[in-house]
Amino acid sequence: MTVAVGVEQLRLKFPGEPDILFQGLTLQIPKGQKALIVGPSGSGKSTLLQVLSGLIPQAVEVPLKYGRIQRPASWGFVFQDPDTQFCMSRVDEELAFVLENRQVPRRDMEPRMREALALVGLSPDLLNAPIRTLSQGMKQRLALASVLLLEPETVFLDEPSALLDPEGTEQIWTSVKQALKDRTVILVEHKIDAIVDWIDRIIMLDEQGRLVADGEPDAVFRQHKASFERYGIWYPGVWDDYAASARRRPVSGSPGPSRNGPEPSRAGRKPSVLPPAFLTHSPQAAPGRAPDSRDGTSLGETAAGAAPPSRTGPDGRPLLELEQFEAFRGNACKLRIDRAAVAEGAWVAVTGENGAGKSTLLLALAQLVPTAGTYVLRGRTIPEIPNKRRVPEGIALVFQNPEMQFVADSLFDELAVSLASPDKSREELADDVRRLLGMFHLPDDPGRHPYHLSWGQKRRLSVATALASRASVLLLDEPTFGQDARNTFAILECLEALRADGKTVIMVTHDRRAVDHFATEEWVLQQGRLKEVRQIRRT
Amino acid sequence: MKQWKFTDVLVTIMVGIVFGVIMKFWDDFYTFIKPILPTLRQLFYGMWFMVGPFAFLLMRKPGTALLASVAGAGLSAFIGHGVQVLVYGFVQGLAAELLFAAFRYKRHNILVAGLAGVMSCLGSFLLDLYYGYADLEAWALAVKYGLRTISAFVFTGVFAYYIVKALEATKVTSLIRPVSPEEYEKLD
Repeated sequence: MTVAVGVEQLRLKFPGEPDILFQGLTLQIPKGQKALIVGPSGSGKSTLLQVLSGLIPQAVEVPLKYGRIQRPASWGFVFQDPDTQFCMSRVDEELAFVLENRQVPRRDMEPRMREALALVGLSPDLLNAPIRTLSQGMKQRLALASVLLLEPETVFLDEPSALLDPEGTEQIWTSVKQALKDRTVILVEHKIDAIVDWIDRIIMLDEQGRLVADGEPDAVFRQHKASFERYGIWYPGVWDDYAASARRRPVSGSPGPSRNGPEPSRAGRKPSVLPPAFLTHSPQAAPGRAPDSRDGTSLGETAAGAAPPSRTGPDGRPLLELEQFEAFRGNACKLRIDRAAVAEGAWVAVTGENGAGKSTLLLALAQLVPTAGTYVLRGRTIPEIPNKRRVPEGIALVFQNPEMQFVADSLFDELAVSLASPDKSREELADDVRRLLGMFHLPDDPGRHPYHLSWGQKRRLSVATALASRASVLLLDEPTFGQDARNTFAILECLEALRADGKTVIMVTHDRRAVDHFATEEWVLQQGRLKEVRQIRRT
Repeated sequence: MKQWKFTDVLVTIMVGIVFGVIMKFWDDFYTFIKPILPTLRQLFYGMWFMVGPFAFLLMRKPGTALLASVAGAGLSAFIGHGVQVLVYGFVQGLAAELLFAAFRYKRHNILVAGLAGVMSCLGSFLLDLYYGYADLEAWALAVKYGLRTISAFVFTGVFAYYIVKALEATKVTSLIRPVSPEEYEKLD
């Protein structure tokens, strides 16, 4: 067997970080093999790809040592973010850039470009198209096409589908399978069900980058199923396992994380008890509702199977009503809803294609874009004074990109913005902040800069700030996008706990299973109109 | 330059370009206040010296100050200010670079950065003499360039230093600074 890529006794440490990654990893990948590397966030999977390809240390200096290393003779690398992989503005320019660097004569360029596009399933008509007009899935395929023009023996792919919606994910995997049939492929991924049938070998790393499992997919899967769950990997069947375990969860569960014994898969820990300060006034209790959370019951308990709390406010009206509601982006009307209402304690999932107006709806409800028509929240009409729009009281919006809404330089300040109140002492504030950090599994390090968190942690922080603002209506734009399984379940469960406590959740999502398992109703948007409202009976 | 990686080149040029854009706006502002504060406006001149020292404080590698300054000047020249701007950028960047070199590239505090700015200011003075912009009486020269020197220190020392400090808090700098040999030893 010829080895395409290999390393012996690899050690690596990022400057300023305390831990040594890999701790003597030895790995060899034969030519033609399709290898998938999995592991928890922070296990160094991407870093390993960068070492094997030579990006570390050639492009970025990171201290590393190894016994021996063999890098591929020729290689290409496809990254995660479709928006940051291109240096030119048009498709043909981008592909030509690769060919120029390979000193391909000009007259040979166009046929090669067409061939590469065909290999990834893109139409040759796209040659003149500006890259920004392509969908995210198409962009990733273009990235793959430009890599193919390097004629690489080995192709590295670093979570190519992480930032793609279901349609884009399907596109990129189809292209990968088609175009990389005969090459060595080393792949890092979290969402593996679409690609696992094509893979020859799974390599599993733990949090320190040490080798935990290595072998054929079936064998690895059978022997290490618990690790798959623990590491939050989206393996085939993960939702079914989750649903099964949720049903099995006892009603009077223990507050906080359960560490006793081999409790299965519960991806993520239950949120710990919410201190009274974070609870809203409980609405009129409907029959069958769990006891008032104020007396210290764990929030996680009421999740599965409890009857939803009162659907209407004290005076019988729905929490939020829209009539002839329009939302504008610039001067164009992007959304028009004739009639819709949301009850208190509902979980509305907003779905639809890209561009259907989902994000616009959230922005409109938060009054961050101009609106027209009737919008009544808690019985009060939200006025339409053009230059004096304010975010209505009780509404909190969580953006898709959590970094966009951080306003402070430390975790403490970020949460204190919403938690502080004149009648609260400094110690009380500090306590509340710590409690909130713990609840969302954020590091107990209030001085840390928000940008110095992992993506999952940033996401949780943005939800935490929304909660801290004591809002009763939470608007979330794709909160689980790009997250591993564990974080996804943790966030959804937290939202469910909040919902059981009386808050209302309106969430834009692409995740079908999240909708079916957690939402109480689904609003399907199409081309700016509300096509359908579907009530969901949750299992 | 053998320690330079691809990312180093990119980051340096990016810094240069960002400042090139800022300098364009600053130029408009500078022109605008000319009738109002013809002499005192030298206190704002320091912005043009900021690129090089900022890049060095950020990346701490030899050559960044010069390259960033030239890149920034290159952008300004490209937008339409002509080749002369490029000469200024080169000389000012070189002056800052030489000062950092005099400290063996090991000092990264406000004082050193400010001094680098003062050196750039000196460079700009020499060029002004050459191009005929310093055709003034001795006392007027002292006022004009004295103010400019103060401005240089404030912009390249104080401002640049604190902006880089703020960036350090976000940890983006850990990957672009040179790695000390101790870090490698920890791997044994």
